[in-house]
Parts: sequence; C-alpha cells; structure tokens
Amino acid sequence: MSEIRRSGHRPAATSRPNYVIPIVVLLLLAIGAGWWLMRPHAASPNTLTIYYTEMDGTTVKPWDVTLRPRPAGSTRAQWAHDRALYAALQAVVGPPADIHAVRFPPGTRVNDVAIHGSTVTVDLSKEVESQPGGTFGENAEFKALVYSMTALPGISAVQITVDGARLPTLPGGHLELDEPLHRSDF
Amino acid sequence: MNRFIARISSAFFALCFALLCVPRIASAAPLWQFAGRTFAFTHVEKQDATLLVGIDDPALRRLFHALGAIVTWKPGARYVLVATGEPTIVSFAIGHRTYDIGPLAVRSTVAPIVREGEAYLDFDALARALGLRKITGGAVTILQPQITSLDVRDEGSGMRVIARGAIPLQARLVRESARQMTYAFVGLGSRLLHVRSVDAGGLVAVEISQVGTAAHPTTYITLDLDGSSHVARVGSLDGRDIGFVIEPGASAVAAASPAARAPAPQIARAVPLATPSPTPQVAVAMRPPPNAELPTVSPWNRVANEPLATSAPVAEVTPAPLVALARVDTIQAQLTPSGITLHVALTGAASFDWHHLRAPDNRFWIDLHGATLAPTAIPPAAGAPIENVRAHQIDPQTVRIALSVDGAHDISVTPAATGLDIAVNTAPSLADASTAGTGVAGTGTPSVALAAAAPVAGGDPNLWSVNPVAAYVPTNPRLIVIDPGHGGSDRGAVRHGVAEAVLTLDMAKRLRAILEARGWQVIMTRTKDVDVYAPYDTAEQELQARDNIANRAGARLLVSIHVNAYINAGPNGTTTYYAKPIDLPFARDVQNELAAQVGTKNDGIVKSHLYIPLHAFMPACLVETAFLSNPDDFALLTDPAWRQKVAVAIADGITDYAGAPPPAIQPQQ
Repeated sequence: MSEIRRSGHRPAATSRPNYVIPIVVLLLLAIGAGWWLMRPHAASPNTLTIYYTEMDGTTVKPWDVTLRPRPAGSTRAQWAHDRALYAALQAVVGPPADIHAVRFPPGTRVNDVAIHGSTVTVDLSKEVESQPGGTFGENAEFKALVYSMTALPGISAVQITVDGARLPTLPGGHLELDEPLHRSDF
Repeated sequence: MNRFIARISSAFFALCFALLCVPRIASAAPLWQFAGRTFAFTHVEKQDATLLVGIDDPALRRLFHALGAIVTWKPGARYVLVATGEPTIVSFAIGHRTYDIGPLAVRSTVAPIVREGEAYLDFDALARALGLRKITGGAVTILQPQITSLDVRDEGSGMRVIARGAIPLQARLVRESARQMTYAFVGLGSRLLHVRSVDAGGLVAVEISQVGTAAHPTTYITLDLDGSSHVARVGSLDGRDIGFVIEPGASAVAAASPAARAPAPQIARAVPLATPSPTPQVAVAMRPPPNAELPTVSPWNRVANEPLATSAPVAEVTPAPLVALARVDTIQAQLTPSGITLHVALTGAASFDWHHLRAPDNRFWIDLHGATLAPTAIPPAAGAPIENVRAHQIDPQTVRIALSVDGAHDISVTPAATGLDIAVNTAPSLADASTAGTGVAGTGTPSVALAAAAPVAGGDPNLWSVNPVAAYVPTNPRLIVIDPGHGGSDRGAVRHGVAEAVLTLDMAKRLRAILEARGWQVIMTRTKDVDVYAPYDTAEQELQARDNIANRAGARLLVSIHVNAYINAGPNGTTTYYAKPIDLPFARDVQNELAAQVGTKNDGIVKSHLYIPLHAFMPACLVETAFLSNPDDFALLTDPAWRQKVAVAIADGITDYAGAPPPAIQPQQ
C-alpha cells in the first residue's frame, strides 16, 4: 500500500487534491473485500461424512473425507452431483486399510449417481453381485452406503441400481433393493 | 553484414531442423515395463516435458486392472476419481494441479486436462499414488510395485506386523531361526526405512532390505525376535495385506516354522454353484408365478366362516379360490381439530402398506393390494395441510393413494370396518410408527396388538418406509411356515463343499418335527433340495414364491432359516434379522432362545431391509444360524447335534412368542 501511495505521489502530486488517494485506497479495499467474499467455496473445506460398518456387521461409524475445493464454474447441481459421487465411491471403497470394516466385494465400481429431489440413485457395477453368501455382508455394506448418502444435505433415500437397471434383490440375495432405502430400514 | 545474415539464416535453419526432429524423436513411443511385461501408452499428451496419459488408454487400463484400481470419470465430470487397491481414493480435479491421495494433498507438475472427451492425467503423479516407483534406465522405464506401508501394532496378546503393497502381497519364508524369521516378497521393491526397532512384545526390530534388479526386485522383511516369542500366524485379512502375528512363548524352530510356512487359510469367495436340479420338480415348477398374486383376505375384515387352511405338503398346495377384488368407492376429506382426515371407503377387503418419506420430501402413499379403483373414487380437492391427493390403479390389483403435504406432519392410517382413515395431524409432535396399527376393528389378537405397539427400533423417528401391515390376522392361526433358505440351483453360501442350501433344509426338517410334536401345523416352502419357484429363476421370483406360500396359507408366523458367510473367517455368531415392526417381538424371542441354547456368539437381532420378512404379511424373521466362513461355527454347523439344538431353540422362541397352538378346528364336511 505504501508503494501505491509513493508512486501516486511522485510526479503530479502537487496538482491533485488530497482526497484522491484515500478514495483509491478505499476502492481497492472494497474490491479486495468483494473478491474475498465471492470466493468462499474455493477456500472452504468440503468435508463429507462417510460411514463404514464395523466387523460386528451392524455398528456404523462416521469418518470425514475432504473433496478438493469445487472447481470454478461448476453449478450448484454439478457440485451436489460431484459430492454425491465422491461420497458413494468413498463408501464403496471403505475406510483406510488399517480400519477393520465390512467392505463391498472387490472391484465394485460406482458408475454414476443421480439426484432427484431427496432421493439419490447410486448405480453400482455388477461386481456388487459377488456377495460372500450371507445376510451379514449385504446388510452391512448397504447400511454404510445408505448412511453415507443420507448424510448429504437434502438426501433421505437411496435407490440402488446395478449397471443402470433396478433390481428387486441381488442374485441369491437377501436385501430388497427395489424401493429406495432409508436409514430407518436398518 | 553478409556474414551476419549467413549466421542468422544458418541458426534459423538449425532451429527449424531441431523443431522438426525433436517431436519425431519424442514420438518414438517410450516403452514401459510392469511385472515383466513391456508396453507403450498410446493416448498420450505432453506438456512441458511432462507425460499425461489418457484414462482410456488400453495399457493404462490393463495397469489399473493389475493393481486392482478403479477409475471413475465421465465426459463432462470435473473430477477424476481413482480408487486404488490400497484402498485409497485419489481425486484429481480437471484444471487443478493439486490432487488428493486420501487425506494428503499433493501437487502435480501439470493439471489434468480433457482432450476429445478423454481425461489426461500427469502419469508421474498417478504412478506415485498407485504405489509404483518409476525407474528410468535405457530404453525402458520400469514401474516397480512397492511395499507401501509397514505397520507394527502391540495388540496386548501379541505383536502384529502388517505390510501392504501396490499389489497383493504373498510372503515366502526363506530363513528361520529362534531369533530371526525372514520372508521374501518377490516382484516388489521398497523404499521404507531399513531397520525399525520395536522392543516390545518379544519383537526387537523389523528389517527391510531390497535385492535384485529394477525389473526383478525382491524385498526381504526380517522379524528380529528376542527368543521369548515366535511367529504364530501369517495371514491376510483382505487378500492384499500380509499380517505376521508374534505371540509370547519361545518355541523351537521346528514348532514355529510349520505355522509360518503353511499358507494362510484362504477362504475362497463364495461362488454360487450353478448345479442343475437333478430331478426337476414338476409340481413346484407349475406353481403360479408370483406376479399372479391372488388377492389376500383382508386382515381386518375377514369373513368369519372362512375354512381354515390345512397343512398340505408344499408340492401339493393348490391355488386358493379366487376372491373378488375389493373396490375403493370414495375418498372423502374431513377437517378435524388436529388436521385433516381422508376416509377411504372400501367394499370388500384388501391388505395395504404405506410409506411416508421424511422432510423435506413429505410424500406419503398407501398401496391397497387386491383392490380396484371405482370411477366414483375421485380424490378430494386439496386443502392445507394437504397439497394434493392422487389415486391410481397402479396395476390390475393395486390401488395407490398418494398425498403431498406441506410439512413434516404426522400421518396415521387406521383401518375401519368400511375402509380406512388416513389422518394428517398438523400438531407439532411426531408420533412413532406404532399409530399405524391401532384402531383395528376388534379382530386383533393380543400378539398382533403387541406387535403393532412396538416402536420402530433404531430408526429415524421422522421416517417410516417399512410395510407395517396393520393388524395381521392369520387365517390359519395354527400354521407356521418354515422357509429353508436357498436350494436347488441356488446353493447359498458354500465352504469346503458344504452348502447352505443343504444345512438349512436339515435344520428346517428338525424344526418341523418339533413344532408338529407341539401341536402346530407346519408348511415348509421346500422339503427337498430344489428351487421353490423354478431352477435358475431370479432371486425375486424365488423369494416372493416363498412369501406367497406363507401369505396364501394365512400362516401365523414365517421363519426363514439361513447360514451366514463372509469373505474372511473373522465374523461369527448367530443373528436374527427382521424388517417390519410386527416382526420385532417375534425376532427377539427367537434370538433370546438361540442365544441361551446354541452356544455361539450372540450377535443379537438386526433390522434390515430383507425381502422375505418385508413381503410376508405375518410376523416373520430370518435366522442366520452361524457363519459357514468361520472355522468354529463351521464345526458346529456340520454337527447334527448342534443343528438339532438350533431347531429346539427356534421352536422355543416360537412358543415364547405365540404360546401353544390354538385348538384345531375340524373343517366342515
């Protein structure tokens, strides 16, 4: 700021009125403040709460992950989609390896997510169908996924699809997946 | 001057030559090597000498596959998410140089870009995130998978050393003595600390060393013991890691080595064996498909002189006589002091289930099964707190009435003799789901009333999405349906040649014998190792067929017997699952008896969105008797005496819940 003042004073300073410099400074401050206020999304941490199911098969534990600041120019809907996709992938991948958690079958991918009102559709790849054979894993995996997705603002229900298709239940499975799942289903 | 021009022009030509040649030299695709295979990337971009590789590059795809990594990106998406096999998520944002490896923020040389609908990533950054070390030398750049972490934990009973790598680890014992155990990891390199001193739990230090060439590395992990302990187990929890368990008790090398040398008991993932049923059950296959669901007799408006179903064997179950569909005649709104009530007038009887989504959605709908919508049933005009009311015939036998309300109001459903009332209560307090079951037209049995009053356990009080079939009245209160899980083409969980389908049938037959001795009528959904609906049917057809048997027979209770399994041997114990509020007291009684009698770990009752109890009209539960994947539980499951104990415990649970069977009524001749 002192540099501005010095450079401003140099050649024609005598001919200018005294209030020009304070006005310029205030204007710069206002611009700076405006820019600062307009960029909260770029600076704020974007923490998502993800849940995993402990090895007892029923206890869900939260853990926080952070998605890189929202890329400039993305709309609110795009940002909601990005957060939901990240949350779904993180819930499917599970917590770091040193945490013992019930995990989705290896190779299970999240193809995409779509938000319609308060329901988020999570499209999983067919690897999710290679379940180990009991209610234990299915219940624990989908409980963690449903808790993670419903931790997103405005989301209360999770519709599961596999490779784009709704299915009533996994092959040889136990859970009913035809209707959206809610936290109260577990 | 001329000399000056000559110099300038020669420099210009030299520059042109260089510019023409350099891309050619660079475009001679550099070769890479991973796990002994040489390849070249074809989807490449260069920015400031930094290599970017397209995520659809075939060689990169193969590399991802070998490393168990998954990439998630679609054209237009702003993030490229790579789930490594570790597992960690690496998130790249298009146009941003900073990327995240799990909780770590890292900076790459260049930002990810999009070219012709394909995302390109800085390959150095990607390789680092995937646990690969890039070793350049000669014409080929080697991607050396690394042992990425070594974790030493004091677990009280012993020490545990866990190694993880870019690829699944396999340890080979190469040297053993009372004080040193050395394991080799072929094909992996390591840049971890060479020596880590521990001095706890009998473990002095862990040494890591790497030998071999860049292309064929081997890493040794040596556990230095203090002579008072030994390596008790070597195994993997998730197939990628290797854990060494050091327990106290000095042992001779000979004693320690077999445990260490023996490969960890790897439990194979259950692949349902597609064994065709040797003798197709014609009677079973000919059963009507589940879609041809017969209208059920109304639970609350039952015809009094209806004959009770008899306990016919499953294969001989004949379709119940067709009952005329109920008719929704009118839907009328009435303002009440606490809100608004919709009266749905019904001729005949229908069962129903309803759903209420929590705020901000606030939608409510009720499905009347076995009902048609009369033209006179015009939904009333909306008025606060109801935004609108809609009624549809969603399939030939189901009428759906849906409401949108203007807030998180309490909505209760009360069946009445002439239909049902849907009351929207604008009072601020939220009742729980128990209100759904009250006000029954005087036909509820005590156990049903108890079930209806049970709160939804462990749920969000603002949300009910179960099917609280209010006030179920069994048409045959002496009948219990037993469902042996899986069967026929669906083997269920299989371990060491033992199939869930066989075990559940055995336990179900034992349970049938006990219940019949106690005076109950019993129907089993299957009495042989067959599919209930049809071989190679869908899981939905199979499960609905089992529910249909219990629902059509108007059974008092349904119990489904299963055997649990998981990908590793860790989980064990007995659990009873339930889905609807009316299942809860039944599940609790069954689980209490199992916990008291069978000697496995008591995993308690668990609410889950399970198909079988959810689609059964009566109180139902699903017993996961024990884990086929756990060695201790496996030994129990394969013991007939233990299976008999399970059957006795379930029977006792049924007695606790339902008491003695009601006296038999002889059908009128």
